[in-house]
Amino acid sequence: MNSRLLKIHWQNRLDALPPCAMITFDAAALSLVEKLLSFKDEKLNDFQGVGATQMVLLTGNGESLPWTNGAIYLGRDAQMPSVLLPTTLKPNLPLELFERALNENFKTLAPFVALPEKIIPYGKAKTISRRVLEKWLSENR
Amino acid sequence: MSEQNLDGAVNALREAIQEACRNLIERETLVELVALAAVAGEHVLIVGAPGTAKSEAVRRIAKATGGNYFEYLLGRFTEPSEIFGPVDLRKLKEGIVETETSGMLPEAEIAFLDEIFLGSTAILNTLLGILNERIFRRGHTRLNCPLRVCVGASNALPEDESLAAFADRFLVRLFVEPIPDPLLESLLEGGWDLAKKEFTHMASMENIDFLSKMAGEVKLEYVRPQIAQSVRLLRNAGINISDRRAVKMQKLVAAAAILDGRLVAERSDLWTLLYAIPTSEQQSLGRDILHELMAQTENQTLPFAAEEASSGMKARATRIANLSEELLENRPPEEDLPAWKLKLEGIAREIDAGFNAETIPPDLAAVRARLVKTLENGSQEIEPTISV
Repeated sequence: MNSRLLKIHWQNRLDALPPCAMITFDAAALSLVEKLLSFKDEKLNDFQGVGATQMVLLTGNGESLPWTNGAIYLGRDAQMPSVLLPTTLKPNLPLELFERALNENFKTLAPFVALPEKIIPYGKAKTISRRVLEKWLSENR
Repeated sequence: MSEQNLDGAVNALREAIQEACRNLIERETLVELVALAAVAGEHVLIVGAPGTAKSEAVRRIAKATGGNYFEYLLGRFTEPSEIFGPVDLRKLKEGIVETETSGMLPEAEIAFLDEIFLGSTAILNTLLGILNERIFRRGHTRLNCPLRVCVGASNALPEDESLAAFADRFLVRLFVEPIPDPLLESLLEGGWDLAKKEFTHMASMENIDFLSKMAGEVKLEYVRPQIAQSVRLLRNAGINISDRRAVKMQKLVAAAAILDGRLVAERSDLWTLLYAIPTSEQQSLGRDILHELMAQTENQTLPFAAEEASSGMKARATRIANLSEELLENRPPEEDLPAWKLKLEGIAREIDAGFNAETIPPDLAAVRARLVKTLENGSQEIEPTISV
């Protein structure tokens, strides 16, 4: 999975977006995977996810998303619905233009998570399985 | 009056509100607004479908404050005697028309009148005197009423002009919807537990009277320009705020200040203006128009109403912090720990999804640190980080 750096200024939101996903890195990612492994299989079916080295992204119903210290919760802004954004931040530029620029310049990598430090594609998110989680854990511990 | 008495009365009413809200789902704002209106000396109109726990919320705050409570469902054929009391027949034989008011509305301290606009002209005219002047007049009976707050309920706002004029006596307006689907389990659980619940008096009418008196002494000078500007903005947007309503709005601002423990009104009290806007659509519009003004909203005693009015960060932070502290201070037995930890995780998630390192208020950050320590089993090594 590739990530690209893009310099964009961000501002705090007065009203946070409702969460529909979460992204974790490093220790938070380890903690999240350990927590997911403690869930029953039926509960794992509530989520879709994708993992990379020292990174795990999880999507699902906001009220079901697990909590882990250091997680970044993500939501969708109505003005750029195809991109996941941190729930408490928004880019300081017209959102429709930003979304269009992303989709035009990185068409094959959509959809995206846009964070202050990086843009991350997550197109391969799928239902998570215990086997995949255990594999990720063994490769990232 | 001493600061200590003010704090005591505010804390008592806050506990009464919390007691009334226990196991109540999505009706916390209504309970808080009844308390606010009682302190402001005003009345509340609730508009919502039948079966949406309107009377239950009012009944609870009456019990929690030890108020003498009267409740009635009006119909087109309801007789005045059903609300105000029967004519005293003994006196009638002497040619004197007096009303026996024992146990009836004229002696109530908190009243709930369902389907209020179905009342006859005779009922509504007599009610006007009680609402406006706290005086019951009927025949030879003239009685000072101890009514602190009357809550009227209806399925919809009246279209008839004469009824609209009567409705205007209810300064505070709240529009309620049925409980949303994700909360149905909580509603069922809360409703079941409610049936077994005994209410405790946490406050009294004396507390409310004291706070009302103090509200009259609140300094409004620093916010009066913002109140005036808000009224201008609302009127410019086509929202009709009468001069009478504009003046009375100040009473809600003063009541909010007192319930937050202050004798000086601040910008953070202006969320109350939203609840004086007459219709649901106008309140939604008003929330947008006054969004910036309400960004600093919060209230320690009325956190749900403040947050709902403004969707403000400070108000949300106060509500979450109060909820967290209540949970953290009530650690259950071992067998209930997993469910308790799930609730703590839900709160931690709400904090991390709603605030970042720049926007989280210090009080909430401290509460979050306690939550993290509890959830991570008191680990001292992990620094409780909040991302972004």
